[in-house]
Order: sequence, then structure tokens, then C-alpha cells
Amino acid sequence: MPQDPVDVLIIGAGASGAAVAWSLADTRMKIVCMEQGGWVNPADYPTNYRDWELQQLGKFNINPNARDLETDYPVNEDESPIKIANFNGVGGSTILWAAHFPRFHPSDFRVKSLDRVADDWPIDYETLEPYYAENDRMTGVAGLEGDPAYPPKAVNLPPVSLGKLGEKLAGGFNELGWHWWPSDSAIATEPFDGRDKCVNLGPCISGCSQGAKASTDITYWPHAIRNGVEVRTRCRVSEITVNAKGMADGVIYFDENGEEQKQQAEVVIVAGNGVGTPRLLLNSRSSLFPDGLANTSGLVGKNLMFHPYAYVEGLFNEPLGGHKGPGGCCIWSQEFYETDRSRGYVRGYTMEMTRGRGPIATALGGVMSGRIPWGDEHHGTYQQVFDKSAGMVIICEDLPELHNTVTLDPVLVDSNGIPAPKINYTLSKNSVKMLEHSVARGKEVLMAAGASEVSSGAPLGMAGWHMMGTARMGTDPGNSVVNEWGRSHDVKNLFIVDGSIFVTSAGVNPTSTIQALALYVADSMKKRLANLFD
Amino acid sequence: MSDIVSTDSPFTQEQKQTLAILVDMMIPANDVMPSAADPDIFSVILSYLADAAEDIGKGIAALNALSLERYKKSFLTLDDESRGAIVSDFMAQYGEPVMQLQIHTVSSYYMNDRVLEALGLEARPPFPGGYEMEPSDWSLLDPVRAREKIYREI
Repeated sequence: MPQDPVDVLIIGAGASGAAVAWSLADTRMKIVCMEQGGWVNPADYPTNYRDWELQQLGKFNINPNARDLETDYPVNEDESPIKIANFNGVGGSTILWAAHFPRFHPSDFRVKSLDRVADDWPIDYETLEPYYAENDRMTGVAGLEGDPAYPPKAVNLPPVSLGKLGEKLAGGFNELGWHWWPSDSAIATEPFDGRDKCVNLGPCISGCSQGAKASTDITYWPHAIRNGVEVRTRCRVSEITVNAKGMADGVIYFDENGEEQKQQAEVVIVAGNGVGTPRLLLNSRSSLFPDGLANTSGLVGKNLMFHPYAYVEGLFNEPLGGHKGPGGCCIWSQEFYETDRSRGYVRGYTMEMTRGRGPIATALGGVMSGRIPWGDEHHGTYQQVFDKSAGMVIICEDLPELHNTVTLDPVLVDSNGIPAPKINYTLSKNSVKMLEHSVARGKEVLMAAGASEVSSGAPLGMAGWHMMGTARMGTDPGNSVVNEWGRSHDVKNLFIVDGSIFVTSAGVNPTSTIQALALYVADSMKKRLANLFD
Repeated sequence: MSDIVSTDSPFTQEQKQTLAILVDMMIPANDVMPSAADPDIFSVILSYLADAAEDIGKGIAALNALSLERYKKSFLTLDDESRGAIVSDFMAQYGEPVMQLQIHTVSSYYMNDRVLEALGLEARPPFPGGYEMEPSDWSLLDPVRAREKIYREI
């Protein structure tokens, strides 16, 4: 049965869906957000339980294929060395994120002008800066002002603790004269907006039982709902429908019982992610849009960017207390962020220090790698390793390439029979060289910090957290999917606000920029309400 | 309806004996640490392995077959040295059951109260207690603060 029409229908309740919903709520329009997952109960998060390390491999696994919940959709990732990491539910992937919250740099919006690769963004850092600041105020960002790697910016919470591990690694950077800084972290280090302060549980990436981590179910959504936005959970949108004039007129979705429903809407905003959004657009074929909705350019699903990650880990001869503190947020270094062509590649990367592993992960990792033997030597070797390792992940900028794609799998479908996405992705030569450079520098700094041995790997396989570029923004309809304020070139009442509209990926985590863009698009819509579809 | 709670194990006594030997070979006791075959730990291992009982059962059968082929004796009747040789070959050949056994032995062992306390850890989940962290020494940042900006102006 058709539901009452709504003014704005948002698809996806994650990082960007929450931000755009909150911002548009002050228009007093009727806004509904459909989310295929449900609300997550913090009492279910692994850190409530003794077997928390084991639970991270199960229903709170970052990979949807491994997690395999009814609310997940499968992804064919066989043709990609980097596997998808996400979460489907209110809060989206912020439920399982590490809460790293760096902004892009001014140079990240001018890649072609500066480095003669990829494309410039149609907007710049200055345009987004007020939205970064607004997003920081809504989120609560722990950090320290004065970072020489960024233009001046305010922070609103004290930085996360260094811990013994962070101080040890900072010493290595100082020894080499390299940049480091406490990570901007979307973590309440003091009580903030009804959230209690971080108590250093450790594994942020399996959900924050304390509620200190800024997942959008506890940041934007309570405010948006209080302001009148309705969130409908367990609603999986299969198709955005269009009328004879080529305007979006609503969606077809499956409810919790698997019943197909129709929802009419005046405006549709897609807030999936760099995989979910092109999947939905490609599944929304019609006589007017036979190649998928908003796809006249042919670029929906193309230019997929991940961030190729490396890891480097060092073994130290003293306990580092690495199981304490936000697992993914400690300090970072942007010494090698800006382009230096003498390194053999363009663009750059951020080194992000990670804290140590828990007792089970230490044993499993050690046994599987052969570092910790079975038998009489097990205990002695384990003692040499446990709580004595520290290291980093290194997040490298990816560049857009047409052959890296999200398409529809011809066979694989989700539990509602909707075609699933298929990923085809290869690392560029630029990425390979950047990874090599980053691993060498990572080893160098860990040795300078006092590591007795180091190990590394690249690219990290289970690290497809950031999916970008598959419906990119631009002023040229022939070379982009949405315009410079997020509206589809083809469909005047269709907007996209997630990472798929990125033109380039930068060498930092994208969520801060995704949300700033969502706020910017919302603001652009509000300023044009009288002639939004012109 | 019966109100008896079943405690039946999917493993036979012989299978349990074999598994106890295997986990003890993997993580034996020393002066401080218990063996993975310690009853408190072993019972947890068995409960986790129950879901993979069929694979584990096949694995144990293959282990015995290997033992009979090489020594004309069942695995349980071998001496320690022969067991070690057999298990080494077996672990290299039988991926899935060996993987299951390793994961659940490690997980059950390093969740055990005595093991955690021997490692100097509190035997509890991270929440709600959390962990105290020492104050940070921000003077370490002095040399970085002294640098000029390192981002590119546009």
C-alpha cells in the first residue's frame, strides 16, 4: 500500500544521511530516512563480553560477507585485493569505525592543478571549511590546535591520551625530525552533548559500549529526530522511480517482512556509500534511464577509489600498555603527505599509529604468522610479544581510474533478490610505489623509536573502509554525475551526499569530509528552496 | 516436554582424549601458566568446537589413519615423540579442522581467568570498567610546534 508522500526521502542513515537529515530538519519539511538495518543496542557490543575479541570475528565483523547478517547485502569482491568494510544500521559504518577524523587539506581539492593527475574538485577547502567546523561541533572532536600540517582550525575536546605506546612512537618521529600530532578523533574525551567520556576500552572498531565514540546514531540522529525527522529502519530500497518528466518520484523498497512497498517523495537524497549508492542507481533502470539512474555520463560506478593501506609493526623490549586507549586513534604523521616527485610517485599518505593487540589477537596473529610456536616455547615467545608491539597503518591516497568499478553482479543477490554489487579494482603503479615508500619510512621510524624487529604488509586486504568516487561531482555533465552542490545533472530532484561524490580521495580518512559535504549540500538546497529544480 | 538440560557432547570419549592431547601439545603447562588441557579451559574449547564437530571428527579420524599407516598404532597409544611427528605432518595437511582447533584453543585459553591474571591482566571485559591512562607528556610536541607549516597553500 502506498505511504503518504513525503517532501524529502533520504536513503541511508549513516554518516552522511544523518548529517543531511539534521541540517534539513530546520526547514520543517516532512523528512523520512530509510535504513536497511536497525538500531544497534550498545549492550550488544563485544566489549561488554569476555569473548570480545572473538565476537569481533562474528556479528560485528567489519566485512559484510563475513558478518552475513540479514540486514547486510553481499558484495562480490573476488576481483579486488581490497575487501569491503562497512556496517548497515542506523549510524552506518560509523558504528564500526575507528573514529579518525582528519580533514582534507587545501591541496586535496586541487590535484590536477598542482600535480597534473586526476581532476580538481569543483569546490575548495575554503568552501567546505564552515561545514567542517559545524560538523566538528556536532560530532565532538578531540585534538590539539596548532598542527603545522593544517590551516588553523579549532578543536573542542582535549586530545586522546598518548599512553606509553604513543610516547614511545612520538620519540621515534622526534629522533628523525618528522612531523607527528595527536590524531583528530571523533571521541568524547570529556562528557559531550549527552555522551559520557571515553574510558579507553580499546577496540573502537567493534562499537563503543561507553557511547564516547561519535557514531551518528548518538550524535546527529537524536537531534534530527527531535526536530521531526522520521527514521524507518529495516527498509531496503531496491529502486528509485521516475515519472514521465524524468524527475524522481519516490522509491520501491522492501519492509522488514520482505513485502514490497512504494514511497512517494518530492526530493530523493541518496546517502549510501561508494558501493551502495552506485548499486542503487544502477538497479534503478527505466526507459528514460536504461543504463541506470543519473548515469548519462556513464560514470556511475566508475572511478572507484579505496585507500590502499599498509601496516608496519615493531616489537619493543618493554610493555607498552597497548590494550588501553582508543585502538585506532593515537598519533599520526603527515611528514609525507604533500607531493614530492623525487619519491617516484605523486600525492602522499598519512601514518596512523595504532595501539596494541589484545591477548587473543596477539596469540592468533603470532601463531598464524609462525612468530609464536606451539609447544614448550609457546609461553616464552608469547611473553616476548604480548603488549610489546606497536605500529601503524598507513593510508595512501588513491587516484580515480575508470577501470576500477562497482557494477551489478549478474548472479549474486541479497535476501530480497536485489542484484548485489561487484567490485573490480586493481592497484595503480602510483599506489604501489607509494605503499613501498610508506612501508620503508614506517620501518625507519619504528627502529628509531627502539623497535628490535619490524614486520609489514601491503596492501592490507581487509581494509576497504573508504569507498569513494563512484558518482563524482563536477560542473561538466559529461564528466560527472552530480553538480558542484550534489544535485544529479540528469534528475533535478535527486541528490547524492556520500563518499561516492568525491573527485579524489586524499590521503586521510574521509568521514569528516563526507559529513562536511552533506552539510554543504543541505545548505545549498536550503538556499535554493524556491528554485531547487531549475 | 523434558525439563532435563542436555549436557551431551558431540564428541566421543576417544575424540575428547585425542583433542586433550593435541591442545596440551599446542599449549603445555609451565611453572606459571596452565595447560590448554586444563579441565576449566578444555571444557570451553570443547564447547566452541561443538559447532564444527563434524569437521573435527573427520580430522581426528584422519589423524588416526595417519598414525596407523605410519606406526601401526592408534594415535592415543603413541609415545610423545611419535605423536609430535604425526601432528606436525597432520597440521600441515588438514587446513580447516586444524584452523578451527587452533582458533578455539587460543581463544579459550587467553580468555581464561588464571591465564589473564598470570599475564598481569584483569579477568573482565573492557566495559564498563575501562582503563586508566597515564597523563600525556605534551612537551614531546615542542620540536613539531617549532616547525613552519608543512601543508601547501593554494
